[in-house]
Amino acid sequence: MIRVRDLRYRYADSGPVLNGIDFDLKAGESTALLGSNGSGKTTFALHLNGILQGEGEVEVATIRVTTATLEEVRRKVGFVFQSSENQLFLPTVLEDVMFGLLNQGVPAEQARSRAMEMLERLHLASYANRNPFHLSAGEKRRAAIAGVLVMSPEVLILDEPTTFLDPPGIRELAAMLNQLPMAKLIITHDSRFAIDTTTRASFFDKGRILADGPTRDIIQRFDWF
Amino acid sequence: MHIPDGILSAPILASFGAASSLGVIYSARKAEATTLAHRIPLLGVLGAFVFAAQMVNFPVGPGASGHLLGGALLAATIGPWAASITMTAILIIQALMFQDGGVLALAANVFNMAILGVWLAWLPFRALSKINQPRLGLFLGALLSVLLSAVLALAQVSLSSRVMTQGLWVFCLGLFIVTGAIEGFITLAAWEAIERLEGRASGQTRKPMHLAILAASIAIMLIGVFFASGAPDVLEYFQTQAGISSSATPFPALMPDYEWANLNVEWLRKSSAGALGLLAAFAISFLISKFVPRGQQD
Amino acid sequence: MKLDPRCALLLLLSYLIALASIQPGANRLLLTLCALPVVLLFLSPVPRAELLAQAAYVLPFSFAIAAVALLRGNTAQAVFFLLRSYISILAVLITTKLATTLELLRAMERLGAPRFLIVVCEFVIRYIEVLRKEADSMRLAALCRGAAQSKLIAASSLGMLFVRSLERSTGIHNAMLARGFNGSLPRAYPMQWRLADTVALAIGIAGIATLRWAA
Ligand SMILES: Nc1ncnc2c1ncn2[C@@H]1O[C@H](COP(=O)(O)OP(=O)(O)O)[C@@H](O)[C@H]1O
Ligand SMILES: [Mg+2]
Repeated sequence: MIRVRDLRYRYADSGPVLNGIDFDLKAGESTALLGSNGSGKTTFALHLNGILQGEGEVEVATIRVTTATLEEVRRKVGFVFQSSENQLFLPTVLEDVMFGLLNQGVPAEQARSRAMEMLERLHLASYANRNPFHLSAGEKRRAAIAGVLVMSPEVLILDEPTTFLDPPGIRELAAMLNQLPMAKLIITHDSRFAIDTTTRASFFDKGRILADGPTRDIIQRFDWF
Repeated sequence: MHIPDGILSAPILASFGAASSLGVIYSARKAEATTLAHRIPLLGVLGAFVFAAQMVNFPVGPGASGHLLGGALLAATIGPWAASITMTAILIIQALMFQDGGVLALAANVFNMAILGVWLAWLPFRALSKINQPRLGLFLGALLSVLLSAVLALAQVSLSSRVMTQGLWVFCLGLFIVTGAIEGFITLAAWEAIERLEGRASGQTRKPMHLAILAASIAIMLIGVFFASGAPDVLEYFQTQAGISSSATPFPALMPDYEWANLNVEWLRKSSAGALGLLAAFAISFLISKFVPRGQQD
Repeated sequence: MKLDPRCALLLLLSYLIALASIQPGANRLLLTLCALPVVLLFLSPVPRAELLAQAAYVLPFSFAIAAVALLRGNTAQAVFFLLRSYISILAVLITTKLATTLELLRAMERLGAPRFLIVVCEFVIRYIEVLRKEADSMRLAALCRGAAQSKLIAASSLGMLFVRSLERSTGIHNAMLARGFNGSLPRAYPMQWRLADTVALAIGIAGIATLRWAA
């Protein structure tokens, strides 16, 4: 589903952030990205839908990520950003969930009913016309995920989805993610959450993947509790 | 200065409404064409920033504090077209959500603050940046922008209500100059803080700046007083035209709403010493705020 | 039944224009026109006392003008400006209770305001509270360090707030791109101009014009 070879990247005003990443994710598989702050996990993930483009090869569903294929790639990759506040940028929840569909050219009425359906599925229907600011952290996260899921992506990337969530919120999120059939890449610092939601893990350090393997093994090996 | 509804006369509203509409439509086109797509959220978030910045109280002298108005900072950071649009958005939301300024009065308020105010801030900033004095330009721009857009607002109110007097004009002018100078300081301080945070070098031109800023403020103050003492002829003309005799004396208590000028000065509110006292106070608080807190900053 | 926000906005503007066209001091005419928002206030499902009190917000400004007029012995004008500014803001308040700010903004867009401007307004509305909260937590942090009255702290708070806003806007832009944003925001919100709106607009404008010019 995702295939990355020798990916290198540096920001305009920084040293090298990614130093040759090789990475694979199979269809339907769930992988965790672990590693300390600043190790390059977010930067790496932003290459998977072409928001950043570095040196090396990135393929999603056998499509090479280039400027020409961006639209296609972004249809296949759903990205849930770390900050729901930034992700939910439209003034009402419903409009935000509709945003991706409208960009895909879905007619407004159809987009509205699909978005409503998704909100109902995630128990957010009563918030449809609210300003996202007034939602709780857990509700914001679910609304952000709704806006991505409604586009039926083939891969789902979540960047630290447990940020600001309380323990019940984290359990609820894990249960929800486990019901989703698509391949998932989950960046997280929560080892318990990683074990609950993924089978494999890759460990990032200073822009390299030090090791990958079954999630429990990786967590044990790096003492990452 | 946010003019509410119910003050301005129809001809003023019509003429400034036309000017504002044209200005905003043209600015929107320019802003859209000259800014990249990624700046749409930027303009919006910076608009929200201006609202939030009003919560940051900026001490400017003994007992006095002000807050950022934002036009000059926006002009200097995102350019005049985009800044005009952002300021217009701010004014619209202030009118609709906070009853700060009227809805029909947007005709005048948008022209004063989002168009004239932004360009008055931008032109000095740009001109002086070219001769490597961006900080002086920013200060002057902020001062002029606040001062002249408030003067224009007062002129609009004055022509509409035909009740202003010469004394009141002098008083208001003093108030506007103080407000403008405060906006200049805050804008400059914020700008420097931004540069520090973004790691851009600054500080080479610091020492001569103070004198230049002081000189500029005093010059503007003098010019302002000069105009205020010259302008009444024109105003008297309009007033006699309107058949109103001018007999009132200046009386600062008539301007109780210092929030007009985004200025919160307790001891001034109580004083009724008039324009002279105000100008003197301005000079003192200016000097104190400029030189005393230096120790804290370095 | 809810009016189309465009209809509400047009009625508000017509009313404000009618008010603006009255000569200062023509208080009887002004009072006649005041009847409209007052009647509306009692007919519509709005919190009356709250609006009447909120409208007083404008008074400090108009007091200044009224006081000067009074000093010159022109009581009629003093009353006029007080009343006209109060009734104007009351009309605005009623309108903003009958339609949300967002609806009014979109009505403006439909009526020809530049879309770019309206989109910027929407972003401002979305992020106002977010940034205020950020500013407030900065203020608290400064207070906790016992430095509420420092210029340096105030300046660096502003700088920090600004730089974070820049970062936020990049984050937002990335999130937009990730969901297929291609440079123009899709606009899809229902707004239906019904016969009732035409009728309401016609009656409203006729009513305003009659009170203003036929009396
Ligand atoms: N927009 C940016 N500009 C410059 N440097 C950045 C930017 N974003 C991240 N970095 C730097 O890149 C490195 C990796 O950051 P990031 O990918 O966010 O790490 P992680 O997500 O693993 O915490 C950090 O050193 C960070 O400071
Ligand atoms: Mg990260």
